[in-house]
Amino acid sequence: MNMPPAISFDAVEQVFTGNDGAPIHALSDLSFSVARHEFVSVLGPSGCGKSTLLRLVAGLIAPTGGSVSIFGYPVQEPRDEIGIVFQKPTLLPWYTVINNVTFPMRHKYGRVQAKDTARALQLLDLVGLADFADKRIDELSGGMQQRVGIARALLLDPDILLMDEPFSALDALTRDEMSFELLRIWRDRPKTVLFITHSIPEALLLSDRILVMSERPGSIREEIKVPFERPRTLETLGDPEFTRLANHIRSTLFSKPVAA
Amino acid sequence: MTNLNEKKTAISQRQQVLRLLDRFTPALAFVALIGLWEISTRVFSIPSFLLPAPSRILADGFAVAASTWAGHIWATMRVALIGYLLAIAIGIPMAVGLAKSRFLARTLYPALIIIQSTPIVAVAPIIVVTLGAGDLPRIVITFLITFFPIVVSTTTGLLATPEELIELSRSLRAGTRREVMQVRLPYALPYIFSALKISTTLAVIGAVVAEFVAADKGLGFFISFSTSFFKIPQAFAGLVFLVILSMLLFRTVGFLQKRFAPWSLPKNER
Repeated sequence: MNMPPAISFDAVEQVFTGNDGAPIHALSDLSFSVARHEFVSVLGPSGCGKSTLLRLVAGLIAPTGGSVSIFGYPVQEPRDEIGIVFQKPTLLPWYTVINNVTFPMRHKYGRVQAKDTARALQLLDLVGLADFADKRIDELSGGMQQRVGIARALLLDPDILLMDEPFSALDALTRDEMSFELLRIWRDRPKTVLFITHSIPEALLLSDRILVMSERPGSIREEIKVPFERPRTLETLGDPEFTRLANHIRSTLFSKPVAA
Repeated sequence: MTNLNEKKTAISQRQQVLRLLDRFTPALAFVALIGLWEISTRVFSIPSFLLPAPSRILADGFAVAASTWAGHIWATMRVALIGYLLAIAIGIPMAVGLAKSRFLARTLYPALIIIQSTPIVAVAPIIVVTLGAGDLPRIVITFLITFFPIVVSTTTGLLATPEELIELSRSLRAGTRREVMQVRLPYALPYIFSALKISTTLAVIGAVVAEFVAADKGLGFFISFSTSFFKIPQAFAGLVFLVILSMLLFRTVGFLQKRFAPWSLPKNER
């Protein structure tokens, strides 16, 4: 038997009740799977249910219909196999950098052991913040804070890393830098990554596969295999195929399925 | 060249003087105000039972024995502090309940609003009759005045915790207790401290109001006692101690915040 996929969605429906009581159909008949150690981006217009999708994988919400599985097991509650990097760094200002990275241990088990701190230091080294372990959060730039967020998500050594537009709050330069950083981290610590974004170049640069979503109710409009060799570099961005694919995705996003 | 250097020293001296002036402006303004008060009472010969001169307040204040003052100050401070600490000890857990449980929010909140809408000053005599003599009625009155802002601010702070932090907590399955203790409460600290600061002055008000109604000790009692004998300068001296007491409590909370939770202050106040 084949190993079950890291993440799989089977005919998932998600309906919320809006503030006015009317139902909001967020996701409709959503099916896809992500293999172990695959890097998959979910790309779509804002409000298409990208974040809902991520929260379903995380076990923070339950699907209205269909099923979500991780390594073949249906998701019923949050699991240890998952680390989340949020849109905003979501750090705790009353802790130092190192204590923010060890926070999952403190929060989950109530104490932090020496080996956890050692691990956190390794992770800070991995994200390039070895010298900042004892700094306060407000002494760090936005990009650095997001690196701390990534180190924290890696602390419990999850198999799956969920990233919810993690670089969208950063400026353009930092954003490119962080993309390459993430590729380097991913090469050092292979993980299954589900990366939510609304940036086409970001998705193309990072992913093995891109799921292009439709507007609400969200479903997959197109699935694109990204052909570029790894490791990807600045030259990847200049590849004519990169531009062609970017244009193709853009036209997919802007075309209405009815009109097509 | 020397001329230029002299000019430079002159400018830096000027700057130093300005800096000193800036530093002592509040103190100077205070002294000026007291001076103006003293002069106007003399120039317009205002009778001391209308507005006593600062010098008169000082003199009459010193006429009262130090041990008498200490007794009154201690009585008021004790009631204010116990009522205040009680408000913290009950208000913060209550806020956690209000923030975490819809049931508690639906049942307790209306009752809280009714209590807050009731003028405590008007209820004070009733409380004194119900609870009898001693510190208890005074502590209860102080408590009732101070705890509402603590409950409301703490609840607001607990609910203002960013959704993503809560999701982080839930994704770790840490449980409600740790969510409250390690995420929500620390996040609410800036809100809690601002309420604690407001409540220090309210605590002194509460203690004094209670003493107005029924007491045989305390600064509130001393002031009402002095005015009934037309000893207005002496009442003013009591007032001075009340202001000092209020400011001292306020400053202590500010100091504790700076010492133990500096991140909860705006950057320029750390």
